[in-house]
Amino acid sequence: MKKIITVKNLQKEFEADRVLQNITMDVHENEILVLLGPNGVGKTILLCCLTGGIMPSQGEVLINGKSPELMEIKKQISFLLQGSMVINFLNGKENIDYFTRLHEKSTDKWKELVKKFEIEDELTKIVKNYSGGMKRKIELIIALTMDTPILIFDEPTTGLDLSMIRVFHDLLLKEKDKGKTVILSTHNPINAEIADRIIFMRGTEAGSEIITSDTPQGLLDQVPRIIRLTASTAKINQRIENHLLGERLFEKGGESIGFISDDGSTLNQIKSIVADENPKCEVKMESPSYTDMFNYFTYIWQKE
Amino acid sequence: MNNQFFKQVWAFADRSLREIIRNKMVLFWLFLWPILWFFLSVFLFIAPNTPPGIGLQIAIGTNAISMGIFASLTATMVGFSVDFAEDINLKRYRLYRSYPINPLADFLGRFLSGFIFGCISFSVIIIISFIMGARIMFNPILTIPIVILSLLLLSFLGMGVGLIIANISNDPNYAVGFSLVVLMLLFFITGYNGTVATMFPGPKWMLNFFPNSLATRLIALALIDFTDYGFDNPPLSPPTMPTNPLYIIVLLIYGIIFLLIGWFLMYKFQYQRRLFGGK
Repeated sequence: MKKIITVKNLQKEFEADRVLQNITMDVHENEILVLLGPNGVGKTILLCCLTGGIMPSQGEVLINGKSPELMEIKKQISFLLQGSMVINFLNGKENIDYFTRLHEKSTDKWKELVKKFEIEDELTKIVKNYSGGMKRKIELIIALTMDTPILIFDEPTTGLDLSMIRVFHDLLLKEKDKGKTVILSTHNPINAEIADRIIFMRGTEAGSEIITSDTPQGLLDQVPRIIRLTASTAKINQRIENHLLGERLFEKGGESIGFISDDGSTLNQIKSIVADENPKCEVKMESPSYTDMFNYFTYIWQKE
Repeated sequence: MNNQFFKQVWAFADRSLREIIRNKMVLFWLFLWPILWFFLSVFLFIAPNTPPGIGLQIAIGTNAISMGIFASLTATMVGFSVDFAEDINLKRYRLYRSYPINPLADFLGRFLSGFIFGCISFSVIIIISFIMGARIMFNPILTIPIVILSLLLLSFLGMGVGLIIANISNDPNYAVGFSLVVLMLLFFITGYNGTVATMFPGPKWMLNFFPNSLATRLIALALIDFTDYGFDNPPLSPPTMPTNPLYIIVLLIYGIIFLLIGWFLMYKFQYQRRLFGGK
């Protein structure tokens, strides 16, 4: 597949703070690339470097072989920048008008999008009074109404409920079917579902970096098996933690989840501890989900 | 310049007009603040110290023009600073730089909004002064072009200063404060924008060359009926009033210089990011 964006040895510093270090990546034409990583790893800064919004301290970004600072390249990009977009003193429709006037590739697709995002009746209200999710919908409508070959979204699903995330995913898949390239940054693993490829970023003392890049299945294959404990107790958790990778359990909805190496001995040791402490506690070994993958690469994975 | 350029100019202007209209604090500074100053100066200083008659009518008129210029500059400087500082503060320029925006459209759009508010706030004070008995003369051929040209050129000055203030302050609330301080300093140092020449500490001829005092004095010549009184009287003179048409060219040169400085700063500060790191 043709490389549409190439990034070589990109580094970004703000005064003494290095935010990004040695970022090298490609984006292929007509793929959905998800940039996954916890908050504060510089995903937004990286997207701003890709779009020409921020100048890298070192390294190079090329879009179709040219600098993103060129007007002809800017016309090929629609960018949603979370938190910087909607104007609070304007209403929803005025916000859409404002941004569509600024971008010459804007269309009247917003009329259809406001219905899909169920915000049609709210457009005359001042955005200052919107919830976070409603603001995000307006930002998504603005970004999706531009008919550009490259669509870039910064944390597009923050504040959206599950049904709206599905609507958004469906729209992105349709854009991909039209031949467009989509990049989105997120800390929400649900967005991995629509990815053709995932780049995972993690922070280090020397600045954030890409730790792995693969297809969603390829990344899941890198994640060890998980054990899920229901009705566990604090004492069980404390006793089994040192048998787990990273010696850490993740609590979720009354369940405890940990990563284990694939040899059966660890599972047997854990089962024996659980039987000893509380026979009612259930232990299951499962394949990891995208959320487990996120936790693994964020908290457990260690550089060799 | 194509249709897209004008769409962008209007996008910035329309957004700024709507934001200012909905911001009560900014509306106060733009309209009520200069009107309060006008009333204060008329009722506390002018009326008690000037005998009734033509002299008083002219004094109210010149004061209205002085305050009108003050209001107009407040509109461009405060209106622009607030809007622009918000964009910088929220890092919206990171997004704008990814858009195919012409920096000149950004500058002119914001300018247009400030200029419209400047004209409105200037007109409001002039109308109030007329109701209070100011000797206002309305000559469509002479008055309108000189007033609009002077306000237009002053707006470029206001924009240039507002742009620098917004870049330094980064915060809309600080931007208002800084802008008002700069305006007050300019207003008092130049002797109420050149209408009370005795207040100016330097050589009086300079009042015909400072952009704000020159604009005020030119508008006074165009808008006040000096019949049976003469314009070269205190507190306007000395220096003699700028009756030579060359003074309009001086103002025009100021306007062009401030326009270029403003555009250059907008381009360099925000779009090319060569100054102040382009936040």
